[in-house]
Amino acid sequence: MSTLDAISIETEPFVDINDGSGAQAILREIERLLEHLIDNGEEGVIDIKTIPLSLHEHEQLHYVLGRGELTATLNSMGKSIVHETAIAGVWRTIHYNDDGDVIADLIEVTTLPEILKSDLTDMQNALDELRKRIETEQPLIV
Amino acid sequence: MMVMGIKGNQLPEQDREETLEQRLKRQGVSRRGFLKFCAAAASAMALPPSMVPAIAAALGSVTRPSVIWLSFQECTGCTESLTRSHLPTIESLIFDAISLDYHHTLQAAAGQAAEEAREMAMEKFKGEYLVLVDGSVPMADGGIYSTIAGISNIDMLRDTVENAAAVISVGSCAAFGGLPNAEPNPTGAVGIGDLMEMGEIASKPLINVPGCPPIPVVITGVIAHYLTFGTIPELDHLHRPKSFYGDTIHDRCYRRTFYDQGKFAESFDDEGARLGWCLYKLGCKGPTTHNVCATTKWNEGTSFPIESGHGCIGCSEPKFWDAGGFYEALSEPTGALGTAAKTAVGVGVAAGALSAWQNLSKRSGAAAEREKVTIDDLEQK
Amino acid sequence: MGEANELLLWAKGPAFEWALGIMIFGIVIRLIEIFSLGRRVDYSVARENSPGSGLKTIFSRSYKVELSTPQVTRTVITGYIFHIGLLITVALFIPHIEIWRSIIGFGWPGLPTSIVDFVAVITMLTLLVVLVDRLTNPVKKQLSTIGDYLAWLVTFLPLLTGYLTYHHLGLPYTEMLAIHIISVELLMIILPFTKLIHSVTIFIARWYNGDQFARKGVAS
Repeated sequence: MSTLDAISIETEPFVDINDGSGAQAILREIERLLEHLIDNGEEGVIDIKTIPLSLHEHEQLHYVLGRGELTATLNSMGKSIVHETAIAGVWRTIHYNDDGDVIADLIEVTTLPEILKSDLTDMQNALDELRKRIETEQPLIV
Repeated sequence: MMVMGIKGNQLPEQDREETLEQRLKRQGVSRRGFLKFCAAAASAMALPPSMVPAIAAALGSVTRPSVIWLSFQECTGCTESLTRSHLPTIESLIFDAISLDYHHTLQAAAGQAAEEAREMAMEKFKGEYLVLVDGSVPMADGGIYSTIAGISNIDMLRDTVENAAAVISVGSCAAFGGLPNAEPNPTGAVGIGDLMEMGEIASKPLINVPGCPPIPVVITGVIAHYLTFGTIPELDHLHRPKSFYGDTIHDRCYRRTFYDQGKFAESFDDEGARLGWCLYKLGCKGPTTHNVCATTKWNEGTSFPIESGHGCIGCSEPKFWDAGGFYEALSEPTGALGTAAKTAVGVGVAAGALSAWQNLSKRSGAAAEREKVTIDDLEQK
Repeated sequence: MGEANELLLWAKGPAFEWALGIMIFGIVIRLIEIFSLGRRVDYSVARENSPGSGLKTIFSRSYKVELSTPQVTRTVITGYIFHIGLLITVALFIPHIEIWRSIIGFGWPGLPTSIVDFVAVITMLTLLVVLVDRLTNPVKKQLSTIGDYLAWLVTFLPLLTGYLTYHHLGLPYTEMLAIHIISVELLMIILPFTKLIHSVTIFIARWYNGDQFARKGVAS
């Protein structure tokens, strides 16, 4: 038994302020953005990470939005998870780095998050690539 | 830890010409990875996520500028903080995006070779290089109190800033003088902005990133902003980027509710402290301190001083060492009130006595000189 | 660099020291002047023995008020509201209690900020009513001197600047806080030399009057 174990650990009761209205404010903002998307086709994004929310407000926000039917995982410079919430057109994108820390937590109001779409330059390069593969009938060995 | 190998002094030319996007692509990072990088960069730079396309466009075109980092009267705490930036992937990439040509602590070269690297970068990238400074500059007695390679800090700074594109002061010492500048300031320490105002060094676009130390991601965020857009972000009157220093700690504090409700911790171990009540009475300087500690937080976004139960000491504000005790409420007067009151009573009593004597003598004088009216006088009328 | 912080430090430090010193000096000199004037010996026999009339008068003058006309009613009610309001903002706002604690060594419980905020607004509105009354009522207008308007101004300014500071209106917080403190210092400096000295002398005057009246047969 190390000397550290001799020190008893007391857990303080977790205090959370749950009288904040941060979740409500963000939900109203999402409502406005979704309205805007439907009317004008303009997309909107909210960076959740830079908004001070209590744990309770955080839970409340995601509880209300719910989870939709689509989830996509991206593996580039760490993991990223993109999922549609139960509210169509409202997506949540969480980017992690290689260590698994959250580096961005976004709520995107869009028909499809930009990061899921294929890029034009990538597609042009891919077209050449595909032609090569058709010729060799082999996947490219990197 | 961070991948921040100093880029020697001799970076191949084509390497400098390469944009960040090209560089990432060469490292096998896809377009999606790049977009992700830009989203994280926006978050780190405290920019709205709607800026991501602009960041992507900018990073697709900028090349790596040369950076000279000068350390003067400092404790290396700012560099320590910088190396703990909690988005290592991001920051290592950001540092891949610059060419750090001179930095005491991080560079491999030493002595004459180190100084040569600085001089070479200054020569080669005249008018383009970025100067980062941490630490204050001693001006007393001809600046003899801090020298590097036999060159006084002020001489080295004057020389280096002369042809710089912009200057970023990292930490409260470089920004405002900091600890060395605290009373009685034996070395005559001043910040970089003051030196520009005094005309001691050339006036260049200046960004102050104060804090003791500044939050790691704030340092990298500000550098990233400059690198991304090649422009100075919007600054407040103290040259601090508004995106990071626009709000006070108090305004963004999760304990603000308790301030408004009038619930305060009276000591560090009472019931109020345990319940996480406001630390105003225990000396929190949050209301007058501009920084993002309350939202960005420290140690990978784990916590910040107030969340750990200690009031803000106001380290990102000028003169914070001399701004009254760290444990005295912000509203408390700082002067020697007892002495002032006692002196006032003493002087008041003396002056009152004098005035009373004057009044009394005037009255008795008046009484003595008063002409008495007699019956005869009245009858004459 | 950092003029705002310098200003705040000056306001909290040397300026407060001086303001407190001048206020105490002023109060002391004025009290000595008043007491040293003395009164001629009254050779007449006191009408009745009525101990405590002086003390009783200190309080009775606060509640035995005859609301004879609407004008008097208005003066009394507004007077009450803004005096109580001032007391609450000065003595029950928690950051202010901390100042008292640092001056006199002890504190007391305060009120929630939102309540003090509300009281401050009511007090300011009442002070405006009082000013309008002074300007429109012919008698009051005739009686008013520049000193009275000055007294009103230095009473109103700390409330206004305090309100702006708390709500982050006008200037940045640090500047506004410095200005708020300076406005209070102005009040402290001016207090002994205007009618605001009544905050100290009122109880002495009431005691004296009560005592004198008792001698003359109209004890409280």
